[in-house]
Amino acid sequence: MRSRLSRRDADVFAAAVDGHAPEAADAARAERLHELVDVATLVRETSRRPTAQRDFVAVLRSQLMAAAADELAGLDETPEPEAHEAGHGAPAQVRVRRRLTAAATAFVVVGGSFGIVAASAQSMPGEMLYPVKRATERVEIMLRSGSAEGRAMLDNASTRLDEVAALAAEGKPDADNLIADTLTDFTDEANDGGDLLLDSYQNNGSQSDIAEVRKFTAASADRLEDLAVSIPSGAATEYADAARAITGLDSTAVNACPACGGQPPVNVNGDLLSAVAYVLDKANTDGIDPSAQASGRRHESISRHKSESSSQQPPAQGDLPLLPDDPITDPPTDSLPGTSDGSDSSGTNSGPKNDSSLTDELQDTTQDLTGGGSNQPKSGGGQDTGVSGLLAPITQPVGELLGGVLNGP
Amino acid sequence: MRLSSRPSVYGPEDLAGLRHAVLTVLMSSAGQGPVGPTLAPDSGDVEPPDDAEQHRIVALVDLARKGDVEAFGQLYDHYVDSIHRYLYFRLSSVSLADDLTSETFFRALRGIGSFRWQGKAFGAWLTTIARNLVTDHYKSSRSRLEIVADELPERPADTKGPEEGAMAALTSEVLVEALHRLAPEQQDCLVMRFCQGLTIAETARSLGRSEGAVKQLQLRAIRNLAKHLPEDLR
Repeated sequence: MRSRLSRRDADVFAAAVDGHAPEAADAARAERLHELVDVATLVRETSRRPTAQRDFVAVLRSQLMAAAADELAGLDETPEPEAHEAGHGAPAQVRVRRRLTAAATAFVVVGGSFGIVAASAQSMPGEMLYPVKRATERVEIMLRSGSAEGRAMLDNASTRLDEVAALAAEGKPDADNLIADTLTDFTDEANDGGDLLLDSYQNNGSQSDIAEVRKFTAASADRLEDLAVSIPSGAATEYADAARAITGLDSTAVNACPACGGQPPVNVNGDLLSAVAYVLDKANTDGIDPSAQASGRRHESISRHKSESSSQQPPAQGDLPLLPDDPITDPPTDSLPGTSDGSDSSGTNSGPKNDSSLTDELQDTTQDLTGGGSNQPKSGGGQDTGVSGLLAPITQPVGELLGGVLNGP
Repeated sequence: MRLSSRPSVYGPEDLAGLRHAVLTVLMSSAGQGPVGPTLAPDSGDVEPPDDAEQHRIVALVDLARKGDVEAFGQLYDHYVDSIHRYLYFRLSSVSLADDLTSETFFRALRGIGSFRWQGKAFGAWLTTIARNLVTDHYKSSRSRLEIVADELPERPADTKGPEEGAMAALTSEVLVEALHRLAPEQQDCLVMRFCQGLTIAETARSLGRSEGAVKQLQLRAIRNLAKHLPEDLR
């Protein structure tokens, strides 16, 4: 088909013009490709120099600055939940956050208004009083030590999960980074609190410390798994980190004292999430746009995990700007994603078949991991929904994603 | 990621070889000797994507959004050349480019309070504003059928030599003329990708097209441009 050929040509050219070594083609095509890349280079070279006079630039700048004083004067100063990079926020924002929290801590310590502290108790990440809430927690931590401190930290970590659940349920498009940051805080607090309790156990031999950790990890694991379907893609890495942290903390506690605490060992979809994160990271570092089949599916499969986020990108590809306020174009459906994607890229029909066997394999694995969870079909919000049913929205697209990438060219 | 005003990643040394070949052709066609080091591009020829710079941009956008005047000034400094370059190549007139650059940034100033894209997409946003201005300009009947007089870009103060300046100016003129034979969207794509150095993603954002469409567009545009370039430049 001509359209398929020219898409391939377009990809090859795009790669070559961005400096990636083109694939070995026949000599005539390679030469033609070089010619075209030369033209592109010529354009680049010719337009290297600034086209604007320095005087003009300077004069315009002063005009703009004069006008800016008025234009920008009315803008609000309160920190809103802003859309910034997935994960760790610009340095300036982190600094602002830290300053706010430090100020809030001082405020709380000095015995600031009881009303404000009380009002902050229900606040959510991104709201104005949230730093006061965190500062209050911090003060309470400061007043404790040893295992009491550890327990308090685990409580705080659980509160982080409450916040994540609420944010995810709201489904606001800008919430990705708040959720990501809160998950990171959860991971940190879980690790720190867990460490304190483990140390306390080492020093004092008190089994209740370990039991406390196991109770926390079991509860957190359940909650994380419940959250799996509603975590936006912008927070997928942090979610995976949190899941791994809980799994790790639990196994450390089990090793320290196998008999403390009655729960079975915990594994929060560990393998699946690692697989997803690995594949996405790998695609990003290879600089490739994975075969359109896989990337099309990735976009669709990850879009199923979002509630109403307007992001269309997988988390790790840092150079894709988000689309502004576009409604999501992939409404979640129950059909397998990617089947209507067109059999264009790989040109084979073996893709889907392999994918479904991979999916089955993943489902078997997860059933084993979750202690042989029931095979109930996924029902809406019921307490008895089998974990594997909950996992289905993950295992199917992940299976296809992995299949698409692994079976790709 | 590459929002600097210079062309973006050149990649590994193989592209340097191509460039050398191209420039040799240019120079020999004007009767000059082999390319000397003076024609080599300035520092930062091969620019890896600069994460620190991107963080800085995002921080500036956030500050400017909240009313920080100096932050807006720094964003202007970062993007003014890129926007002017886009406008110059699309309009082939320095004075027009000046006017529309000014208009672009004033509109940005008025609109930044409600800027909702991610900070790192700020450059694409500015380019979109500029592009709309170009479209409006061409819609006005007066300018539809004429290509505005061939004004050459003024050489900046650090020009390295008269021959090289003349050479570069000549090429620029030829290029702009060839460029204007293309359909507007192809022109946009070429200027964004190869004059401003925007990434495929940023270009797609600015044009409101998919990335796949942009890749096809750039290939088609380069092919067409090649057709319109004189033999010895191809």
